[in-house]
Amino acid sequence: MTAKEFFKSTSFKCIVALLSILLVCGIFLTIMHGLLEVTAEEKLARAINKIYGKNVTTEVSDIKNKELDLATIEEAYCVTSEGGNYLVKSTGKGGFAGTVTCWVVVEIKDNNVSGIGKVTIDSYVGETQMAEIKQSFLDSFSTGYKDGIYYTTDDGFKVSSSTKSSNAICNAVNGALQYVKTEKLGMETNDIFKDFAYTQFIDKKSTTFKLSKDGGITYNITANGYGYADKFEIEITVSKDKTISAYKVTKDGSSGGYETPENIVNGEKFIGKKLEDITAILGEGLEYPGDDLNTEINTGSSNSTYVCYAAAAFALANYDVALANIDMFENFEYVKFINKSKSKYVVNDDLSVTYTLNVNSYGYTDKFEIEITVSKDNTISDFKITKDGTTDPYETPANIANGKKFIGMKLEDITAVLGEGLEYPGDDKNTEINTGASNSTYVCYTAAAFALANYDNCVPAESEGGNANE
Amino acid sequence: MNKYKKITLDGLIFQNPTFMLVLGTCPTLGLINSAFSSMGMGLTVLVILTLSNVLISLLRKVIPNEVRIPCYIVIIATLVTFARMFLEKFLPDLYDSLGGFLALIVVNCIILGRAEAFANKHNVAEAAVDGISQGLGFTLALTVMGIICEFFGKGSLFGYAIMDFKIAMLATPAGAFLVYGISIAVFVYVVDGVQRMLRVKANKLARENMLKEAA
Repeated sequence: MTAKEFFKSTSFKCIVALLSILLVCGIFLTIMHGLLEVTAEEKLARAINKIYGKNVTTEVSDIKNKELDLATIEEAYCVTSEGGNYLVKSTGKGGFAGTVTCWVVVEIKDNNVSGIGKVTIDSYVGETQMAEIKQSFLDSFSTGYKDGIYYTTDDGFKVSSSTKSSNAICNAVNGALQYVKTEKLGMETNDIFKDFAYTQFIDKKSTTFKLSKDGGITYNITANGYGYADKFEIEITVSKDKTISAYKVTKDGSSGGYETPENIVNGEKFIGKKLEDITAILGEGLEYPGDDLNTEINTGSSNSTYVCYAAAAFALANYDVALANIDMFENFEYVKFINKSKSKYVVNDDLSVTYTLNVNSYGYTDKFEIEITVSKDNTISDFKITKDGTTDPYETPANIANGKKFIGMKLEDITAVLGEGLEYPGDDKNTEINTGASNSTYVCYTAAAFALANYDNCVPAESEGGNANE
Repeated sequence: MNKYKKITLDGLIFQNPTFMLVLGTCPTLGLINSAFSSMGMGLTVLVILTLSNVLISLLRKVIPNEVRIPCYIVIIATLVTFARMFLEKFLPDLYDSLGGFLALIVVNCIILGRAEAFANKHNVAEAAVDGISQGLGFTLALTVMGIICEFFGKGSLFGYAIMDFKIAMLATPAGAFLVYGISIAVFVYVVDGVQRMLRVKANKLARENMLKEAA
């Protein structure tokens, strides 16, 4: 075919016709895009108009996509024309199979959060029952606000036919509140789990932990539901070697037809497991491996199994931080006399207890640091002042400074002097305390009383010794 | 019968794209749980269908037969993209409610079907009337079914709450399928009945005329 024939052929006409139409359409759409493009500012103005019903002045926050435990803060604005309220775009996790993004108006008064102004839905991913979420439910966040609130579905912030999506919305609102409080108002959070890993898998409000008798940590975990599995309540003990020594599902959240396997409910599956055993299956991020993969999770009740594994991982991963946050002196007597954060105790092999106490100051005396050993017969076997808080010119008497005064002393000996409440007897009374350095002497007596009174708390009756609760 | 009247009646009744030709089923089932979305989709299709019919009719002698389908698709896709931009800019609520179904208009059988079956064989005016009547037929069908589904499925009309009683299943695609099927049956039954009645009337008239002539 010659060039002339080609240019006269149908093929050439087809190419020209198609390219011409493409060119004209392309130019048309380019022009229209320029004219009709919706800018980010316009989108924001629309969202604001939808929320406030009018135009308001906003000041852009400096953050973009800040990750919190259960929410991602995507955008935040200070609404200057509305008394400095914050408008936060927050994406809540923990939905049925995805997330819900909400605009949350956080009201501010006197540099403190005073309420939730409004909550509106911006968008959602993977949720099938969002049609059930009505404005009346979203308004309940405003009407139900109280200081320090943490919204949960358990507290009624839910639409019963759309519980998981309600949970994601609760998380979005909680995230917005947390962001404004901590990042914008600089308030300290009283979140004991703030340094914990994998908190997205647990309900922080109802999860607790305490020191176990063997020196490990016992968690009572309320694990968040996943997919078809609802919330689980699980008691897990992690021993000092960071393996699970006890595991028991106390409330099974599996749904009908998908029963949690017996060896998971009774914990058999988890005894002796380390964190690495779980991350080997779920990875460091504890991602759900999918129903189609042949892993330990795929049990026929995969969602429930996954929730139990995530709870175990939470318990194992946070052993050290839980230990650091634990109140070793919970239920102890006379704790008002000591600085709990700087004090500790060790149970020795012979069942004696050695306390290292940072004792609070009193009157003219400053803080004392004292090491006291209480033997099995509940008497003081060693008393050593490592930091003397006496101030000039009141010197601590020698027999107190070297501890000899206290050796063999029982609690009754001290309460006989100070009474059951360990009250300071006054400088004018002729008691053992009146030494010329009465304040310092009193501080040492209270430390000794604390050590003696709490022996049974440190060494439970059934203990066989050798526990070190440092 | 006037040809424009025939085209109009075909679009609205005798070749109604939803009830008689059963075309555009995907957006129909996906959107008729809301009267507002249904009407919005219907009107959007009406505009795109009319414009595509006009453009294709205009270009019917320029576009070679061998590449007519790709050309139609490019034209329709351009119009749909323009409609999306327009709705996002000026009618964001409708844009949000139509969601992914808006982009799917590109592959809507009604539009490509009318381009291929009608617009490329008729002049611009006839193509425009066909686009409008087919679009109106589609819009009316969707709106009526949208009203039924929303009223009984959600107890509301165009978003305004009317009553507490509702049959939630009707607001789901499964319910939409049920309503769609029943609507087709009722529509065909009524149209068939009317046609039969007209035929009987015409036959009776013809017989009377024959008898008169014989007498």
